[in-house]
Amino acid sequence: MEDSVQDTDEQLLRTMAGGDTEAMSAFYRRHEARVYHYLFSRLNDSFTAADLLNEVMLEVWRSATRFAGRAKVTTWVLGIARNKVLTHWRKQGLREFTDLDDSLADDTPAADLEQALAAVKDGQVLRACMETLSPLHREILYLVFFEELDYTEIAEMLKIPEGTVKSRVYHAKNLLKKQLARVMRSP
Amino acid sequence: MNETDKQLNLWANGRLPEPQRLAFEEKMATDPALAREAEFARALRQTLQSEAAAPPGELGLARLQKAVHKERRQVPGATSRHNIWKPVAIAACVVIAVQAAVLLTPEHRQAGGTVDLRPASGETPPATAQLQLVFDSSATAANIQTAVLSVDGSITAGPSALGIFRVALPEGTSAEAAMETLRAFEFVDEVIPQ
Repeated sequence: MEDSVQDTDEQLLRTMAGGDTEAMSAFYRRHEARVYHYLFSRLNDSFTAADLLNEVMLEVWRSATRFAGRAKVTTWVLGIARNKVLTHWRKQGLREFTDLDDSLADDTPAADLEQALAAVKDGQVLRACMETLSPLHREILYLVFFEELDYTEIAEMLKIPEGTVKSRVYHAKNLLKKQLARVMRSP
Repeated sequence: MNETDKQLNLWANGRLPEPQRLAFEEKMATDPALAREAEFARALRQTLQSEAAAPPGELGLARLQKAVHKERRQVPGATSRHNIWKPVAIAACVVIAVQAAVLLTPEHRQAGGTVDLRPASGETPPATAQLQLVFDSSATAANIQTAVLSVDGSITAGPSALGIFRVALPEGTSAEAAMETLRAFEFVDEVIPQ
């Protein structure tokens, strides 16, 4: 397993399916940051995120033979990460996963974009405002702006129609703008 | 509105295809509100990316490797997922089942069947030279019969889980000569003396 750096994700998975732990190491190094950041964005807890990262990668190792190639490897791995988060929450009994009604219109006044724009550049403020969003809104903004997935990939990963992705991103961003603008207005 | 928002976000991520990107930037040039929205999207992306927490790195990898090794120890035989004997064993089982169905029928016995079969258990093993045979997965019942008869042998055991047959040779037969005869068959993979 010498050329693992040049191997595609699919090739690495095929090699892993044959029991090659070096391919597993190469796969881990390539995807660790992406998966960890996703987990951290959802859990806001570095220890739990590290625990679940280990579980996700172990699941990838066990399931390498079952990767069917219907989705991109990235989408597949993030889908596993998402399921691990949901299972973790269910075990903890701390947060119930609820679906949003993405078709609901937002009747509240639009945020002051200039205030939101000034606030969004401050990492600490942004993090605090992201925390006020629902897990689903936080997740979708993260998938678009951090993972830089396109809408089709997100729809596939979350198992929702692409139209729902569009409206969820739109609502999430508007809610975030409002929170950011509110922080700027507060003394 | 959602479609424009999608274009705006893809533009901020640099994922808008070139022709669409140019058209979108032309639109922004004439629409200051759209340009400010685009700037918000780009700033959101930049701040999120710069705020990323540090992953566990090599410590995380060491933890994963430890978990994998532990799992392998708990599952004997899981060191390699490729067991080349498995398909051979399955094929050999099928072959012997077909062989038994054909050769052990009363009609065949009445017709004076020539293959000397003995039960794999319940009979004292002969004090003669014995060989272990492994056939190719494509070997048929007729192939196995040909090979066994070529050395006047008798199947005394098998196939095992790994597809191994034990064949007893008649008294006075040279094991070396029999091995040479058997190895000449294309469908015989291995001949091991006992």
